[in-house]
Amino acid sequence: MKAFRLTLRLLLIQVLWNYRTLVGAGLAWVLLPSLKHTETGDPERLEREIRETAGIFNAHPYLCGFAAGALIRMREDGSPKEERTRFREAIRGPLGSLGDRLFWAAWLPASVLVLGVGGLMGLPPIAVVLGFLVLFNTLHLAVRYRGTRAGLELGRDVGDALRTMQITVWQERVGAVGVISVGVLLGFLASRGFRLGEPWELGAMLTTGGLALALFGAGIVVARIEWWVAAALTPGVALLLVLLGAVH
Amino acid sequence: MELLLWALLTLLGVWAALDATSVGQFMISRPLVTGTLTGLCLGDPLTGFHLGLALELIHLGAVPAGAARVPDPGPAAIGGAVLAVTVGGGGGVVLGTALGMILSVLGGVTIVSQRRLNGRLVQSLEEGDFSPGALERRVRVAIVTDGLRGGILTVMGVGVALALSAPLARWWPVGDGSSWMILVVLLAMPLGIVTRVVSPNGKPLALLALGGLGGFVAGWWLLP
Repeated sequence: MKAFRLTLRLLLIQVLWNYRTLVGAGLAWVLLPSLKHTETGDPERLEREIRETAGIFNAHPYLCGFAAGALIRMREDGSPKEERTRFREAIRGPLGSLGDRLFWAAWLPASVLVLGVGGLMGLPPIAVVLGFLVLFNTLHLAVRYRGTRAGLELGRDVGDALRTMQITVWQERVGAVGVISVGVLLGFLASRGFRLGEPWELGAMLTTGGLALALFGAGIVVARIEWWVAAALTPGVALLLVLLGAVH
Repeated sequence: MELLLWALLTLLGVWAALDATSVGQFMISRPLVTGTLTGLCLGDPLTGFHLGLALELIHLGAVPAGAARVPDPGPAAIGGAVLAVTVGGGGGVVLGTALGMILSVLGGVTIVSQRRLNGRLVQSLEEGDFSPGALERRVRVAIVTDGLRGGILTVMGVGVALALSAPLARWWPVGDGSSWMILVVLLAMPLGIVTRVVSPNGKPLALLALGGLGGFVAGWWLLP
């Protein structure tokens, strides 16, 4: 029950996200009931604890439960403040990068692509949306809850639980599903173009397909540039096509 | 557009804005979701889905790691979907996608402002009373302002879409088939970026070929 309540509060951990303390103030809000419980009867000490907890902290929001649960457990076990501070500093990097890689760079794109391709192949739009939300959030909520529980159980040893989850391995597997889905999408679009297009449109289709493939390849090569730079390049090409089409 | 529809779309925009960072991150804020739901509200979920998927593919490569500046495509897709549905066809989806991209960048600017406001809220705590009550009040202010941000963005996007739909529908110079081809070109580079982002070890070619073969077969033989 404690893990469940903490998981619910963790849904708001980014509510005060800012460029200076990042999610620190949100973490203080998440831990507020626990701080009130342990610092009961001493308002000044409680205020000092909240102030310290609200210091700079950052992690992927879905993995913050590992840290929040562990910090509660460490306080309950009587860990000194210095040890808790060191723990916060040590764990925030791994929780950030592992979460970004698993969720933002693999699970989210793969979920969108699998259901999006399904929608293009005839799945009703509402089924696509519901399927996406259920698929994505099943892992999302499971990881949030499991992380919080592991933190509460293991305290400073919560890193062991992170290692057993093999997040990097799962990221690679899920990413492979995402790439296959991109392939399916490209193959599907190509076959529908050839199947449904009229014979006299073949030249235009081949030109468009070639241009699209070139841009797709360029996207793979220049993936490290800011997203909006790449996104801004393509409307220019599209506008050119519109003008050519209008002239034609 | 009816008042009830305005209210529904605004509520969706508020929810999407809150979901993106402040509350939950259940991915209600993804354009695939807001675009399709907007289409459903307007009686054309398929166009909403096409618009949502297009905006989704454009934004999917933007990883919001750390303090990276990110766009806000959730509320943006609502205005984009309104334009796509009211103009109709492939041209509507292309124009809706373009409007959605502009609104999304604008939304990203408002996210920066929201985060600066949050910074001031936290700073005011640090400089004064850091009691539980003061912290709770700051949390409520942050939620209300973030929700307002989404509501204003949505109303603005829908308003612009409704104002532009008639002249843009008259102006759009190419047919439906060509419009879809333009959309494919528009999405090609963002899709390449997504491929690189998700590909394990940065070597996507074999997996792409495997998927491509399956997609081609499905499109050619299995579907009507």
